[in-house]
Amino acid sequence: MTTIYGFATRAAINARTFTEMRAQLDDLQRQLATGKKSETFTGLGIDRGLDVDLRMRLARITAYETSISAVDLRVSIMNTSLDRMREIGQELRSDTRFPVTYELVDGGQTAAQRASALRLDEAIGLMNERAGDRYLFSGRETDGRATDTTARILDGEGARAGLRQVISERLQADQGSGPNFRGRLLAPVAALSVVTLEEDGTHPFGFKLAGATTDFGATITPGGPPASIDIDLGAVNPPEGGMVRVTLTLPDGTTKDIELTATTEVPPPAGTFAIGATVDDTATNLAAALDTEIQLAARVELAAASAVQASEEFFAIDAANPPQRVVGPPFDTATAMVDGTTANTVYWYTGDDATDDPRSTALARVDDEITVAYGARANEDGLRQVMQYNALFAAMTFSDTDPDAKDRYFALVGRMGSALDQPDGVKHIEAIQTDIAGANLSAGTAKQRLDDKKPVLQGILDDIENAFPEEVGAMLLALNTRMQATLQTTALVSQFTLLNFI
Amino acid sequence: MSLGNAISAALSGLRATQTGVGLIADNIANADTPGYVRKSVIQTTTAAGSGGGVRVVGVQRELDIFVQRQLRAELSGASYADKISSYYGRIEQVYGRPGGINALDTLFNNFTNSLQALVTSPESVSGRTQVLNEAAVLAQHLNAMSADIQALRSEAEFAIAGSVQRVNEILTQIEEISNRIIGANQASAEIASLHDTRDTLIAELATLVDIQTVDAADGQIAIFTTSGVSLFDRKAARLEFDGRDNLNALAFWDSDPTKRNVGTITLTSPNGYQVDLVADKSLRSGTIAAHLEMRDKTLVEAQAQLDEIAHSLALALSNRTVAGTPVSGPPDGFSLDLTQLLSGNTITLTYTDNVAGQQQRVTIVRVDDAGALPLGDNFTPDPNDTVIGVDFSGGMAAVVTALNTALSSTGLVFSNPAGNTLSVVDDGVPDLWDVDGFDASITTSTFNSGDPSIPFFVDGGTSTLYTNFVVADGMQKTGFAARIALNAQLRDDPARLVEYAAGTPAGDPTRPNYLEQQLSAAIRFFSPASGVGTTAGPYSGSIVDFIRQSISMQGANAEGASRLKEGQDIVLNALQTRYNERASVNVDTEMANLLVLQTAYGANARVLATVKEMLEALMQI
Repeated sequence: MTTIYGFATRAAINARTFTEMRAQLDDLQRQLATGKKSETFTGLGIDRGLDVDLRMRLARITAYETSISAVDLRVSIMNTSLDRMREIGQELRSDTRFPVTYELVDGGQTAAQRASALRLDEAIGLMNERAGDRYLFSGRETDGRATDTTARILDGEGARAGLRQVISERLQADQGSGPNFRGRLLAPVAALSVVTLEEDGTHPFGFKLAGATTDFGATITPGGPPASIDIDLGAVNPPEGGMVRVTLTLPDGTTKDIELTATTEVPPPAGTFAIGATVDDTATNLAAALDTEIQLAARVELAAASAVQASEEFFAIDAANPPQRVVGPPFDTATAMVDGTTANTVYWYTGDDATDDPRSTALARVDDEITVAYGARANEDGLRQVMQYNALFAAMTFSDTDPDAKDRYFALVGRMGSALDQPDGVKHIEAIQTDIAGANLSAGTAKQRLDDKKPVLQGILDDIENAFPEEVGAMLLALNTRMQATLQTTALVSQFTLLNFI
Repeated sequence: MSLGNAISAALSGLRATQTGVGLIADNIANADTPGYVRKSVIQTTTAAGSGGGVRVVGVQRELDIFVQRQLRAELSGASYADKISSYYGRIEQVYGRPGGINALDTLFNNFTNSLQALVTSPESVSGRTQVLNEAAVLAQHLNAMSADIQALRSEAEFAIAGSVQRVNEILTQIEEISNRIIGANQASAEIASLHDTRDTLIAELATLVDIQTVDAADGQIAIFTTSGVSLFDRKAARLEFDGRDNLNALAFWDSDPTKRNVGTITLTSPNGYQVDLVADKSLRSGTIAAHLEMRDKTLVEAQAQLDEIAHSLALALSNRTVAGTPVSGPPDGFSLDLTQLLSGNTITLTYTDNVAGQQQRVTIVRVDDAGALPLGDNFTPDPNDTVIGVDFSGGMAAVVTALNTALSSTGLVFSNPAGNTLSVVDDGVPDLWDVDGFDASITTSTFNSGDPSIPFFVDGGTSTLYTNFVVADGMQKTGFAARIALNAQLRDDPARLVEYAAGTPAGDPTRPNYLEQQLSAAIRFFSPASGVGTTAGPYSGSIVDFIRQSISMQGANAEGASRLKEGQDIVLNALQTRYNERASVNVDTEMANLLVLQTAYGANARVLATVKEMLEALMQI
């Protein structure tokens, strides 16, 4: 049986009930106003740990999304730059393909060379492209330009040498002293039946004697150092048409074969040597013919190869490989190269020159376990080649009065063409693009995943934290009914007192 | 029986009903007076021989003493639960609103996310400033939270002082009232109301201290704490509290008065005997016990939790692991250069006892104050290591001696081959022991050391490096949350967030990446002193996990306390209702009694009238 309390007791209980219901009402009103179930972690019940966790994950997702959009912007700018770099490379490459025309416009350069100067400007501009305040091709030195200016790269500044000076010094060192440039070989000497070719010292410059052959059994004896080759014609004259081939290695690693055939024609045409009365006479003739050919090669192939090598030494730099300079002056008798310094040489690449993977110079975390690497350096192969050969081409000048100029021009263009066709040439830019696109793809996939995950997490969080107006409304209504009923019954009970009946 | 008897009986009836009506009037008037217990008349028949009639013997208080006793016990419990719950509610507010901009987790997330943005754009000046700002806000917030916790402790201290004073007042009043009650007629109306007053005082005392009472026949009462300490027995005992102002994180209760920086409660019994109620843990429930528990346990634990967060935050970013260089033998081992080992830094030695086939881990701690030794294994939260504190102030030779002594039961041999190098080798050919690892965890003190770790946060009070050094007075960790600050040198040159070696490029993400990983991914152990985890199974996880766990625990505590309070309230209310049923004034009952008395009065009057008529009839004869 239910105990029926007297009014006094009843009133005390009711007073408490009223305060509780009032508090409930206030809380429901707050829920309606703020849309939140609780202002404290206590109010969230057992889900509070999950709540903190979800907030943390959502905050991280937001941070990842910010990273992803930064990466996306940077990668797309980089891609545009790289696309254009590749085109510039292709344009230069097609200029080196036949038909190559040699027609100097004023200033001693061809139209193709002029185009290279413009392309160099553009390439330098592309490499110094920025996303916000960030240089994209400087490796980790994202706050500084990736390269120096075109003008300084070509012409240097004050005591600091530019490409043109480096080419000129290297040319002097490779060609040797004038007026008859023999590419640092001594003039060929004939002693009895032996013709001797000899380098003028031990050094990395000029022609290097790689070997000699004949098709008539002459005795070839290499010697040195300094390297030398003795060609002993033997006891009898070589036969008509007998061939002597001397192979020379050029500074850029290419080789030049000098072929001379024995002839009885008078006067002997180019590329031949006269068979003399005695073997000793023939040897003297051979030495003279070799000297002519060597001097020609020194003016043509050697000069072109020297320029290519100089550009290589100027451009292929990083922390471990500073630019190489010829020790001098005098340069024409130089015997060694020395590391250039920032005081005496323009460093064309001014970004981060570490030798590690360029991709690792820019990182972004795009998901809990995924870090994408999308950095690049302007001195990477491929990018560097495009600038190097355009700069080289733009730096060279030719003259109508120089009879060898045209041959030299073709020697240069041929070398550039084959260098650009190397795997580490223009094609390498595609490899860079593939890497970066891969990073961007990872970031994009991560973004998709985060986009999918975010509403789910947010939904769970909302379920934990949010008070839904419908639910709160229904609760308010129920509470309202209960409060009214309690108040009314209390009012009624309060009338049931004997006081009113006596 | 004569008519005269009838008159006197009727008169006594009139008097008794008048007393009754007077009492009813009193009851109704006091219906709402707190502590008022309904009174009823005790009346008895006068012996018929001596004239007959009714006599009012006294006044009885209508109460159930069993319920009253229970009620007193529950009052202590309820006020204890109420205080605890309100404290927990406030501790929780210190941690911030869920998702609020000042919630600890929000601030921590902001900090790690700013570092994450710096990984993507290390060169960004605004990104670096953002990291420093978020870090400063986080450090300041930890300071503020710590101040809030200590403010709550100070508040508890004040509240204890107030409560103790009130206990003394109550005991004095009880003494005064008891003196008047003893020996007096217990049935008199005046004494009954004195009982009411005394009961009210005892009820109030019960909310402050958990008590039990023993009633004696002569109206005397003895009051003890439930632990058995006498508070009142004819004379009142006196409590004293030597409260302190502005408690800080370094102020703790200690049984040694010279080490104690907070107040303690001393009871002096009437005969001069003194006892420390805090030391004896004599107070188990009631408001004072709640304040004590908060001041000495819960809030200390909350502070320890914040200190643990600050400690982990500082060390995670500042400490680097230096691996030992292998020494090839036999005997094999490792050597370590300890030049940069700072006080508080640790060396971890792992070795294998090949006979038992067990690997052991020893943590060697650099200590510069011999007074702090020996250190307990709980210096590190790692449950599986043995901690050896070594005094480095005496030079390397002393260090080697100390270590060889400490590990003399093993075959390992320490030596100092040169400079500050410490090497440890195994027993060589017998091969009973193997040294598996010898690494140091060293606090990086410079910014371009070549290591990505960095003294990001410092001990702001003294602007010194945070290494958690230990001295005789305690650990640097204690109260660190109140002092943690962003390193001003970092604020001076934000580029140090990126430049981990001389000439590091501005866009190098190495350091931001390392710092971010240390905060969000690196797993570490957390001290069980924080209330999270146990000594045998300390909590291990990333810092962000620990913060989550802390918030979760505070919420659970607050919820538990609030549940307990609700439960207590229900019990208390039920008892109160039962008590009130007997003790409180029911106007209906009183009115009904009034009606009865009214009728009785009329009846008595009628008897008188009738006797009068009879007498008149007699007179007329």
